[in-house]
Amino acid sequence: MTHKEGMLSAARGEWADQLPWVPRIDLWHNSNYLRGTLPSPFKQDTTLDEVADYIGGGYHKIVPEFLKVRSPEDTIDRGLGVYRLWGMAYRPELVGVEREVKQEGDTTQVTYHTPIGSVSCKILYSEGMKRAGASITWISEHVLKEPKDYKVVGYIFKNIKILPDYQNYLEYRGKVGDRGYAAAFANLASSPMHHIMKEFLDATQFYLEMFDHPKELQQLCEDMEPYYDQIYRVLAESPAEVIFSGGNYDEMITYPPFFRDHIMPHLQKLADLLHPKGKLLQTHCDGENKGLLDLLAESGMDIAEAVCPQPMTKVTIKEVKKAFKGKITIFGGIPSVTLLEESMSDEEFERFMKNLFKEIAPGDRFILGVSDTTPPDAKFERLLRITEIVEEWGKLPMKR
Amino acid sequence: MVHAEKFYKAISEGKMEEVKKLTQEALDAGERAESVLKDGLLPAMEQIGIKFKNNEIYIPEVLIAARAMHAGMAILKPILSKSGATRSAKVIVGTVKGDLHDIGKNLVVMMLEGGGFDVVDLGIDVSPDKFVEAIKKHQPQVVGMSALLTTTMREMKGTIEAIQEAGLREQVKTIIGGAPVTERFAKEIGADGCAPDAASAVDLVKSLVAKA
Repeated sequence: MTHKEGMLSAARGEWADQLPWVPRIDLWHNSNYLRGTLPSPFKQDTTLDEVADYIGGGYHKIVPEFLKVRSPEDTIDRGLGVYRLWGMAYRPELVGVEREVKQEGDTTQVTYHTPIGSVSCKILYSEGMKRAGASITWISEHVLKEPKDYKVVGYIFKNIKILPDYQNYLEYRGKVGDRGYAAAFANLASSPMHHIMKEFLDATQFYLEMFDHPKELQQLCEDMEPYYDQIYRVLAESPAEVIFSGGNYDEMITYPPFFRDHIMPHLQKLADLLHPKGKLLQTHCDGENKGLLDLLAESGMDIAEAVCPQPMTKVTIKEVKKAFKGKITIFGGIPSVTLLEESMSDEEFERFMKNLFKEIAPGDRFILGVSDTTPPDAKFERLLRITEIVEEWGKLPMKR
Repeated sequence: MVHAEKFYKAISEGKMEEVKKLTQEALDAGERAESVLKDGLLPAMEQIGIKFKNNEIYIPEVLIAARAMHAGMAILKPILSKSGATRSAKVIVGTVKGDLHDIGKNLVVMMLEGGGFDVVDLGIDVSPDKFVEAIKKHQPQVVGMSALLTTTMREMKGTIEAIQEAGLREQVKTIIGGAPVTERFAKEIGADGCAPDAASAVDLVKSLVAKA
């Protein structure tokens, strides 16, 4: 089987021939490339995919390459959580809105003028962020600052047109080839309310707004619904086998009632559109999920990517598997700190891996990956060691 | 008399005006500011903390409660400062250099305040120098550092080293928290403790202050 076939088999609940091993190394590569610290034997211009080939696993083409845009203007709406990236299967266009853009050092200020008023936001992408490997801009001033801003933002989203851009996606998929599946990106958030939480308000302010302006929040969610619906429909008709929608769930941040009321219905809605077309829904579950496991299991998702067990969270892989009842494929399992020497010695790392393989045996519905990503200062040899371990023990079904 | 139940009801429902009113009424009735704090505001927040820890309530409820408690504190603070009354211990808290995440840190600040600690919030992206300056200025018993990223957790080590170099290490306890942080990492960098969540941070600070 190719890497892609193996990954898709695991994602569909079928047996691959060997445990798929798919490390996410994009932020590691960004950081070490910019710092000039790519380890031997790599040259300083070695590409991400060349490193992935050297490690020997599949390609992690799940989270889009946020630095890869077709023109600089494509980054301009990130303060709204609206993305235009190379490889995406749709392209959003703002209609009836004029933008005013000001650059102040590392910060870009964007003001949106609509017939019903104006709103503004600031996005930051500093040298320090680049060196740390970050690929997503930081929203340093959020778009919702006063109650009157809700309607303006609602107007912007009610008027966004989502256009299919399948050729863009096919180019991306063609480049990934047989080394992995290329997930089609829906959104960083899983629903309108989750979008508002992640992109439009400071996290603390968001929770206070739930008490102070619940009607405005609800109305904005309704105004954003057509934007989400359009994306879902375009992706359901796309050539992609796997759709990636939202993530960063956490039992504290997206606490159980919030997940149940504001996230799960949208995951289920998207899953209901995708499944009849034979497509799979993947979402990024990199937080503390202990209190959310039962809800995740009922959310309609097929692949829970970036699942992170102890010692970074309270949950074990055994508990996650039990909660998922064979309905969801776990993608992840190796917490990023296990790759750091100051967090784990070589002996502890070996013990961790041995125990992980015991827990995941016989290896059904599992894609081995780093949760959520390989840290820039990871001990690179450990990635190679995981490849050896997979070759040694990873023939499926694995013995318990 | 301080009506603890009324304070709890008003705080748990996030009613800032009601908390202000109860605070002022208690003072007007002759209660000392310290009593209003210790018998009214703090027990209410302690209850909130316990419910949060037990997953009976969630983060929005904690935040509105903390905001309501602050409304009462705003009345008490000037009186407490004048009277020279001090709270149990001082803690400075910040998200380390290069890290812009604040929700975890904010929650720790609120839980510590609710636990009766005098908390100085240094904000996000706090350099080791700023931590050192703040220790000199505020003379805390405990320094708390937060990081969400594996890239920024290393700044915790740099901060502890800067505190050491400034000759302040013996006078403060250092604690760390955040997604990538483990007990082993805490030991490795010489921190005095590691809290897996905001509620545990309060217990950790209490135990460190008790030992000091």
